[in-house]
Amino acid sequence: MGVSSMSGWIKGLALLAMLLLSTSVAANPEPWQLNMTPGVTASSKEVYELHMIIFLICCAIGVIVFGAIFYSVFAFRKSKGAVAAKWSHNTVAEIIWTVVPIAILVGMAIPATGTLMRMADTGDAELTVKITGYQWKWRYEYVGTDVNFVSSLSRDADAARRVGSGIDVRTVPNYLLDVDKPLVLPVDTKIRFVITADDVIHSWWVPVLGWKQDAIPGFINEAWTSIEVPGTYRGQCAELCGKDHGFMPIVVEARPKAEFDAWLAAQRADRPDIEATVQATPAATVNKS
Amino acid sequence: MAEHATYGAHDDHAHDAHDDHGGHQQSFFQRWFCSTNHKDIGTLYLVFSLIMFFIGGAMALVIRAELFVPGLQLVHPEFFNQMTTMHALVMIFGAVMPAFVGLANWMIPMMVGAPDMALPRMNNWSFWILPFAFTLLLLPLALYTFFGIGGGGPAGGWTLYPPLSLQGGNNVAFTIFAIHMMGISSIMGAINVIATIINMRAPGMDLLKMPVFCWTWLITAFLLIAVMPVLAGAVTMLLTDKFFGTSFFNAAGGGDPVMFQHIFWFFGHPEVYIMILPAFGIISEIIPTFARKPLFGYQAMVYATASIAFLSFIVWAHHMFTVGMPLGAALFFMYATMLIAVPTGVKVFNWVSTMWKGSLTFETPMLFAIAFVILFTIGGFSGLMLAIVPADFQYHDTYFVVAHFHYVLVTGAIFAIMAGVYYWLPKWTGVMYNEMLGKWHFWLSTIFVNVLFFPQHFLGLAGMPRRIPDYNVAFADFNFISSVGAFGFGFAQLIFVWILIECCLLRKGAKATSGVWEGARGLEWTLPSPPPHHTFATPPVIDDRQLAHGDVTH
Amino acid sequence: MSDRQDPDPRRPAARRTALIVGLIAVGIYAAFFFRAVLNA
Repeated sequence: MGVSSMSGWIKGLALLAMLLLSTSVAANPEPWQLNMTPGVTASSKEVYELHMIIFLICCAIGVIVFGAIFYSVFAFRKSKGAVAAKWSHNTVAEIIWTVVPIAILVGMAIPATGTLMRMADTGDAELTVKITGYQWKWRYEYVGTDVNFVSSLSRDADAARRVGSGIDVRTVPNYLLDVDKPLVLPVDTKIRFVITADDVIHSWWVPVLGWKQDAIPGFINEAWTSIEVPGTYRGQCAELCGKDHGFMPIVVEARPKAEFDAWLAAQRADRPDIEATVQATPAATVNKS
Repeated sequence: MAEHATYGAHDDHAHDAHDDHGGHQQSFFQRWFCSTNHKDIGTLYLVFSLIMFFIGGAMALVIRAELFVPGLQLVHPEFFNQMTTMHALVMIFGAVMPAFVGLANWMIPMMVGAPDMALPRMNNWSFWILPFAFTLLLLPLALYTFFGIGGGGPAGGWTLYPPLSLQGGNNVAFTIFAIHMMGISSIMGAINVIATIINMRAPGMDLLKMPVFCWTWLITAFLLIAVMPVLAGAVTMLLTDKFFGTSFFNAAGGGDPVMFQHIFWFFGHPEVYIMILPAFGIISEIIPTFARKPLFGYQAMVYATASIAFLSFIVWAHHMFTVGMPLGAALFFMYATMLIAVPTGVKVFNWVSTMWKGSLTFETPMLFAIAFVILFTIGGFSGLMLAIVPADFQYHDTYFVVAHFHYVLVTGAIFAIMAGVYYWLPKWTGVMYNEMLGKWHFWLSTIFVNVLFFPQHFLGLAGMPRRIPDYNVAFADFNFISSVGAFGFGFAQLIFVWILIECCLLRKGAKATSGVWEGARGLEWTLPSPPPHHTFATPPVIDDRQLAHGDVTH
Repeated sequence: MSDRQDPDPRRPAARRTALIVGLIAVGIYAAFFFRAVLNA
């Protein structure tokens, strides 16, 4: 660290001020990032808005409560001659601060319920991808095709992360957030994910998509997304899954539909041997718990 | 022992004219190992808790040292996972819970006018199980770390989720037996608290005249009775899955790994309140004392505590919103969780109202209590945010959660324990602690604990998962700040130890009066400081004006 | 000193309370365990 960290701090503070003022979207984690990403899907934006609403409500309540505490601390000091009042009740006040929070909570619960119901609706998907978690990599299967591959930590990062590797991890691009083979998805398409695991519980999470979903052996969970902006989006396993839990990243490459179709066709052409068996692949049986 | 003479000197002030030790001197071994005295057992619990606090804290510093800068420098990922797992188990079961039991042992009999806990010999048992339980728990890790024997401690997280937790070796058996022993200890402690409060109160000490600390502990004890057996059941099933070929949680054998999470959190959520309700009680004792004004809304406080305890049983699945619950279940648990904000809010508003138009002074216990109210409320806010299911899909298993529960447990439970220790220390020892050092301890702890945990909110929101030993360089700056805070907070606790040594061992400091604090009210403050070894052997006559809440009509 | 000489009338009642509460704890353990066994 040393000198470089000092200049890093100054740069960081400038960036912090910028982040506070700007509303620009961070697609992937950025240094000094303070807030949740609004993401690149309609759901993730709703989640972000819910997060901001509840955050601001908490801030408002905080200003009132902490304001009252600090006022008391400065105004009612014995050293300033404050004499204690005798009362220990005020029914009106007690009713107000029971009823008002209930009203605020109801106001909070309504939009949250709407968003949750929309996020739970996995119907009418145009594409289904099966995700399987393994210690410590992900398998992606494009259901209905033979395209099926494993995605694991990029080679550079895997070398750099070892204790005593001697490699400065700051020189590795997208350290721990890069894979050998990303999950390619089309934009503007409702994609359903069926998520499971083979050994222990994992959790599939790309922050810009707005959710994470546990991958549990013996269970098949569902989730969906519809990405609005092409780009490369990074995430990580979010459920402790053993020693290399921190080293099983997720990369989603969102491409325009035509490009995606071409990519998928190329993947299938690569593997003519399995082409014949596609029809025989049984559709994933969904058993939502 | 030397201090016995000091105790004896106060006997003439005591309510009971008993000779301190029933007519014979005890050896060191008899006094501390065979003790049936609630004060000595309380001391044992508190000392044990302090030791565990430092062991768990050392583990936390290993974690923060590894996370100082990106890249793995100090430990391997397996060991890192052992540290996160053991840090949690040691802090929860070894530091926070025994500290509260210790405070209960010391204070409840003196508060309700009982001669001792209801079952003194069981009290001895419930303490002495703990050192054995923690030897068992720490043994695999210690053998591995210091002697290179075996495969180390459990590394599957303190929640012990199968199938991961079952991938451990023989340490699984050590952990499970240790949890069984801690559970038995907690249940026996809870039985003692319940029987003492229900049956041993002095005549005239009505339930609604009791100090709030007794109320919160009574409710906590019922929570313990209800959920510790559930935890025992869950880990017993883990044990048979691991060693006897059952398939409770093994999907391949027809079991259900999610069922473990349901059972675990049916214990785990009330457990959270087990660690915070007694803290509420301590704060409700301290704020009125230093505001010189009665607690605002005593009965509302009691009912709010009971409501929180009840609600704690129907919110467990908010720890599992991402396991793939049916929509209806997710909605139910979201609404129920949000509801907890109401009684919790009532408590916070009542504390603030107690301070309002009081006559405040800021001795160390009060400083910790005010910091508790503010910082616990911040933890409450992030808790409310976590209740919103769609937002939880983002927050879950990130550093945002880590920040949240450390705000409620460190600046919540642990700050309350510190506040309680400073508040009652002059009563226990008969000497005032060093106020200037106490203030240093407070300010350093409060500043560093925020440097430590506040940036973790940002890390979580930016996308850093919890329980990872290494991270992308984007997370480097806030992790660096957080680690600086961790070392600052850790070393600030050495001041606390020195203050305790001065008070308890060196007996250095001004002599404490029986009331200690100008505004203190209650039976415990009518006893001399330090109180004689046996107090209230004959039930005291209750004078309502001496009590903090003597008038039940209010 | 471990055994108190004074026959405190509150103690027998306290022992009864303790016994009942203890049995409740054992009961919860058994109920949970057997329910899980039947489930599995």
